[in-house]
Amino acid sequence: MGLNVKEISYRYEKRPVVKDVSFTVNEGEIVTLFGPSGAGKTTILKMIAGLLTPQTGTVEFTGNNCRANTLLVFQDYLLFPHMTVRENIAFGLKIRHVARAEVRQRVAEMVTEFQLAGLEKQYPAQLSGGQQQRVALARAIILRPKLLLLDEPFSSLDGNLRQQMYAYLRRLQARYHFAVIMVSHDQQETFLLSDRVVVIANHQVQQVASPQKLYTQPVSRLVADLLGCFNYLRGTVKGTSFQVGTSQLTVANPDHLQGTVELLVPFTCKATLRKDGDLLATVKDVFWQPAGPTVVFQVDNQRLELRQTAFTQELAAGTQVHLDLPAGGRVVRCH
Amino acid sequence: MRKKVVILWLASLMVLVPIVMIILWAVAVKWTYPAVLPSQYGWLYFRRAYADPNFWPSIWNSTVIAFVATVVTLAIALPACRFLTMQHLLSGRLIEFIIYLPMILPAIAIVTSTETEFLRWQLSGTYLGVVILHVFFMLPYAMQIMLESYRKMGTAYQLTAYNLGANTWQTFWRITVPLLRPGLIAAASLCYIISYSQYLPTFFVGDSNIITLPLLLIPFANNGRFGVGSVYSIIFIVTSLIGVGVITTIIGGRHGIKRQRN
Amino acid sequence: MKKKYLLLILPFVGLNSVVIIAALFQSIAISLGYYPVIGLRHLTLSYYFAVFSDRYFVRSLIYSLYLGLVSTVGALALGLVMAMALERVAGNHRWLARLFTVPITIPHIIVALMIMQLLTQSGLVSRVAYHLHLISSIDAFPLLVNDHWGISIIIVFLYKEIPYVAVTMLAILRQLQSGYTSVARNLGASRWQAFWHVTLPLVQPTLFTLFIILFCFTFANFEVPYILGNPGNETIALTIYDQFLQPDLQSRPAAFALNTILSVICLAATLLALLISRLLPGGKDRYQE
Repeated sequence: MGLNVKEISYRYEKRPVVKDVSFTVNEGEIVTLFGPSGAGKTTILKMIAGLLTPQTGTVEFTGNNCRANTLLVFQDYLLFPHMTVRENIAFGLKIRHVARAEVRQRVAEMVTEFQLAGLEKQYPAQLSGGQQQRVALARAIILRPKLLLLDEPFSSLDGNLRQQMYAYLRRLQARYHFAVIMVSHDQQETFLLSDRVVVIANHQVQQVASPQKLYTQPVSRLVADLLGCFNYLRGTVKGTSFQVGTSQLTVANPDHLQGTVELLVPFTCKATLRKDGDLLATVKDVFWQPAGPTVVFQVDNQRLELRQTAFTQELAAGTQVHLDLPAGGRVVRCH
Repeated sequence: MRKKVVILWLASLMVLVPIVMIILWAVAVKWTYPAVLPSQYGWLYFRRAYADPNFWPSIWNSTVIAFVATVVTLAIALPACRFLTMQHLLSGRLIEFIIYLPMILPAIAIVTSTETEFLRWQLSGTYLGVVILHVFFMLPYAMQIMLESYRKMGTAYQLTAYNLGANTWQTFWRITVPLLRPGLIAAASLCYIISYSQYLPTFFVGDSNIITLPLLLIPFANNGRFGVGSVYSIIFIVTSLIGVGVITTIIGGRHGIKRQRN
Repeated sequence: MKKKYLLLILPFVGLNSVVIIAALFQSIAISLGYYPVIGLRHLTLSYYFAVFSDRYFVRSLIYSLYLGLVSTVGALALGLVMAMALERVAGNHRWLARLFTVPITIPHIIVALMIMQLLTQSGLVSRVAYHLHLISSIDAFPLLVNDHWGISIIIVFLYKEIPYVAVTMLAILRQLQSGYTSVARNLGASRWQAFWHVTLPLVQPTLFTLFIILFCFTFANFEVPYILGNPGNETIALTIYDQFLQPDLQSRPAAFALNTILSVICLAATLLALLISRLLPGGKDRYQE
């Protein structure tokens, strides 16, 4: 069972919003549409939900999935303001003329599952953001959808609450077996939750990969920028040999680039200090952080920032050191 | 969707036909039953209307009263709205009720009661009396629009201005009014037309001293004199639109946006 | 709250006091018999009794209620329908939509004249009917103006109020459509279910507010029945008008009694409508902070 999105496009008054977007979703997967705001991610969700009609391409439901099984939870939840929590959750069942006893039982189940006990008779205006979020989810999940579309569901929640909701979502998904397509512009959230990520920028799909692959092999500088977790070291490459300043490193060069390129060095890559290390660097600044000091180096007049470092010795500004970076770092075309 | 377009066309047609009728009757000279269109056109009825001694006085009165009433209404509504958005004592419901009272209470009752009162105060038959009563009926509309505008504007901009050193008067003219401009235009236009259309207040309080266009129009309408009645209707609509246009320009400045003098 | 801010509200309070409080207060006093100008100083309810026992008055009250209710309910229903039609379509047919809202700016008096020109026995509709051989002579055309049922009066009110209701409801419907209606449909509701369970409760407060404004206006309206009404079947406003036109001040107390009764009915209708709105689903105070 799944979803096949094939080359859908959408224009709004001559401006392209979505161009030739294709991807698939498999049963039980969490797929995130990741990209900057305004790139058309919400529009894609709406086309899948049937609220908008794609101007080209098709949205195909395969297996035992269909549009009626696909539910969209809007970014601002849109809980019916004139109904209580219980009435909101029961709405989908009520309009399907489900027997009253069954409705009562299933609503009670949802109330327990989403920890909404005691709030059943309240109105949305009286609830906190987190509570509204849970009611919105309960309202959808009570209908046992096969595919859940979430439009930036956690963007209006703060730190702690977000973490709780991530765990929630994973638990719910494991329990009720639905696939999720989620829209997000938060890189951390995307990496935490997704099985696969569809990177969307400039109205088009840039890359579709698992979070791990995305991190280690971003397909372009654009994707790397969106992920926002890399340093860019400019140097020259020949084959798999990369030269920056007086240092030479072994890198991965899948596109067989030549000449001036940029090496992606993740902020949190595991660099080590070695007397004969490959990379010559000068320490410029050290900032204490709970997970390990952030150290800013200067390499060949370029800035290199490493976070969550676990260097065995304490570094002082001005010290010259030799670093070993993990081999196989990726090079991409210059920006 | 098709069905809805058809409905829209039908509705627009039904709106248009009576308007066309007025125009035809105004320019008809001979239009007897059962002809569907006039058999002879001409300016006969226009000339008859023009010959009425009350022709210019009624236009003048309507315009002057409407202008003055609009200005007074806005002058009362703006501070009142400012006050209401600032205070927290009275519930929103109660305020709404008080504001809309002139629209709920029957006009005939208010007009006749006020006329009796004005007789005692010697305001009967005066322009002042008529304007007061017009303003009374215009206020709910102005308040409704301006309250909404004030709420949308919020207090942040004015507070910023004060913080930067502006005094009350400066803030009002340089910040508040420009931000309220769309609301002001809507309120002023609506008020002008309402005043222009008033019959009962002018009739009773004006005490047959003050003739406005509606007062001139009603006898013709009542007697089924379609020709002259239509002419006065057209003059009514045209002059009221001119008045609204003038007011809009005054508030909005040239091209709708008044340039600030630095 | 600084004292000087009270100055802001003073003109508003002043004007309203002068008109409402002073005038109506005085009129209530006179209706209760306190009218020193003609020498009456004794408070009595006799004028009210006289008014209620007058069959002519009761008939005109019922007639006014009939006109008010029919026009208002009709305008609300048809206006809502038009709003729903406009909602989808208005973007593409902007000029048509603008044309439809023109009646809002035309005063009632002129509209009365227009409708008269259409619907009298010598009016346009009659002429067209004659040409289509639907009637054989001018007298065969049904009496629609100055008639017993106030048909032309109701049509005037509908002509003016349907666009007004449509325009008012359109703004709200647009908001709802992009939001809550989408959600309801996505959760599986049919168009009718979404309308009944979501749209209607959310617009109901506005509908009731419109009802109050329109009913109070049409119920107590003077100009339109004056022009298009039947002399044998007056509305209340006309009755009061006639009373006040009489030079004989003796009839004033009874006339003021009519005024007061009219005002009380309007206020009662308002409170009743607000109450009903509150109790129905979507009633405001239940869920607004």
